[in-house]
Amino acid sequence: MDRPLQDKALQYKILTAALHSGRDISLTVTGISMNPLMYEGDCVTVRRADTYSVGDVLVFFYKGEILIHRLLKIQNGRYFCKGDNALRLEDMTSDQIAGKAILLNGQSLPQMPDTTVALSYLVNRTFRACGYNAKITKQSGIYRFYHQILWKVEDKTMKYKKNESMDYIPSDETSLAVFDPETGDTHFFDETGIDILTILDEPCDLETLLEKLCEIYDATPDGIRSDVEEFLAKCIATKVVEVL
Amino acid sequence: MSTLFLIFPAQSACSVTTNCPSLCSLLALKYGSYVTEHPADVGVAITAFKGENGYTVSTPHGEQQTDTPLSVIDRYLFGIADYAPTIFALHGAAVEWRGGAYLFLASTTGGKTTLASYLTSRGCAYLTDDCILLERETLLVQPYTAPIQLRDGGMEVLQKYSAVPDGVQILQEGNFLRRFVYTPAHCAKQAVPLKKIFFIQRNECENCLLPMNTNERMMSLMQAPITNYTVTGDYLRFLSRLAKADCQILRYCDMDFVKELIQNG
Repeated sequence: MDRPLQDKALQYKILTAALHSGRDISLTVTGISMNPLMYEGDCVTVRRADTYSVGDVLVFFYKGEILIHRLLKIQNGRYFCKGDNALRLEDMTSDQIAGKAILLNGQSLPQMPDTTVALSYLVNRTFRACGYNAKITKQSGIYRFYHQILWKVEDKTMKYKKNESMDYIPSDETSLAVFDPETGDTHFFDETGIDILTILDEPCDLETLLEKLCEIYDATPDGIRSDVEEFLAKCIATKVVEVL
Repeated sequence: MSTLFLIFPAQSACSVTTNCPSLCSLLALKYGSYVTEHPADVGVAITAFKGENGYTVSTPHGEQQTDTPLSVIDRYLFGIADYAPTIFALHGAAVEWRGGAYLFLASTTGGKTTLASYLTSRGCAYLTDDCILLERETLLVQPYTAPIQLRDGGMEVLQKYSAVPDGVQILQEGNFLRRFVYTPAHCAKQAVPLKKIFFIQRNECENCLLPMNTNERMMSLMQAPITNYTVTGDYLRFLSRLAKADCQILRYCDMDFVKELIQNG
């Protein structure tokens, strides 16, 4: 009779050996950390790769556990992963990575937009800034915004505001450079971006923002909603806009 | 034993002491009038001694054995270049025409040198071949008239245009460095107001000018410095001011198109 393997390290060794041989391996998901993409009992097909990219869902060995979490950042040879529905960031070297998920229940894995990946990372930074207090983190604007995108639910109480700690460098009515003194990053905005950021000089909810934009442009709120939401997500991911 | 002083505009001077006359000749050929034997205050002293097994080049960063001392010295000087804070140093070539400076920005082997060489053969004054020194406050372009250094391909293009310059010498060191070197007869003598910035794209079939919006100008200018400037708000404010200059993408297959553009508007 087969005995279930209790030793996770041994399981991981067998898994990596199998993947190194070039075979794809199927694993069963446990837990909720990758909800809503993956649920308990789902079947994930894993394949070894030479390189991994931000946004990939990786299978790796971390603190005695085999985890399936998303790669959010690569820096100085270290890989930083986090469950989509989790707060903790796991950092590792490439030799801790077994492979990446290529199929979920036999279907291709949907890609997470770069902006959502960046927001997921910011959620962890917020978790850290909140002293690793999950309750306080979940009350933060960034978590609520990310949660809204991840679960596709609308939170009408959220307000957005231009981040005053950025350095705003207008060139003319068509060009605005926004410099982040903390990261050294520069972000550029065109006329439409400038109009949105001007409205966000004052805290503003999405509906009010859409209404104000429709006063400027010949558009309807529902006609521009998805574009504005995407713009907001990018601005929040780059910290140009804060969620209040 | 000889000591040569390399005194470049808007940079700290340095000295090279060597026991090798042919290295002195190579330095003079490469840096032209910026090499002198007259002593000057130097920020960096380099020695390059020829021995039985090649050269030993010593810089404040260490010692290196090499068969190509000029290349080692040039790479070192490029790495430590500290331009005056009043100067914005861009990777590009520039010529002067009727009191205005025309800048050609592109990456290495983008055609800058050949274009600058051709335009100087057709009446423009030479401002610089590789490093544009732009005064941040006034947007004047300072002449930096080190000898033009053409690659084989550039020389072939000039031959096709019957524009091979006079007085060309060959600068060669080992198997890797080979340039046709000369200083144009007509060099700008003083700083010239910025007239136009061209981001050049050499191609095989098209001559045209493409407009750039301000964000595109800013982003292109951020790629243009010859050295790594720390990006700050003030730096971006300067780029924002510079982006108000006449900036265009210049696609060309015929250098006469560029000449006409500059000389006939």
